[in-house]
Amino acid sequence: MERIARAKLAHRVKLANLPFPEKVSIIAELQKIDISLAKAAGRKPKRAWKI
Amino acid sequence: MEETLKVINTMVEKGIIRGYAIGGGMAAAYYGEPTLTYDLDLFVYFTTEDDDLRLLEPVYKYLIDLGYEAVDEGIMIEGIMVQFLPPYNALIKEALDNAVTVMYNGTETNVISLEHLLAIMVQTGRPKDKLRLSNLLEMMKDPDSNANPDYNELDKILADHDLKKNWDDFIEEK
Repeated sequence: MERIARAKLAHRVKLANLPFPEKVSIIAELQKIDISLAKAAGRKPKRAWKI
Repeated sequence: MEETLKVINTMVEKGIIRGYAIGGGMAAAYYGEPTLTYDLDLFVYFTTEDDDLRLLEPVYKYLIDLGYEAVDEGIMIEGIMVQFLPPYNALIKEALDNAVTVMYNGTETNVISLEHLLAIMVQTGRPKDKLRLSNLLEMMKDPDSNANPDYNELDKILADHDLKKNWDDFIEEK
């Protein structure tokens, strides 16, 4: 269990240490997923960034 | 995003705003993991000290004249939703004064310091801030992480703004 937790944290730290522009690209991808989920659930989606 | 920052930097050069720093979810993403956000929150020194709505007038006029669209509580600049927020209390003012200059590809920008970001999240205490704070605290366990605050500085900020109890309560809850 502890090994899994350590591996998970290491993965998260890798994400945290990415350059700023790469993080912004990931945020834009997260928005796409969130918008798809909103549409599927019948909620009004927010506007995705165009980067 | 880089084009957005260029537009905002030009606003400083032209005196439309006196200065700015990225806060909110984007600042949290800068120091920690990227998480879902739709807004680029900017704490801004405006050119006047009138009431809130009039503060925004020159900003909106400048941007709308350039063809950008006001949407809900923000304005879409080069594809990114930007919210201009006044420094509404002493902690935010201090965060603005002590923002760090960073590069976004070839463009300079300002982000509030990690220590101020942590203090602001504790002060606001909204569920989304608590979640972001919790994520950053996880990152801070790893010495290789970018999220490495100066704990002396953080302690000072928390003490100066009467937030030590809020911080301790949050750590205990966690």
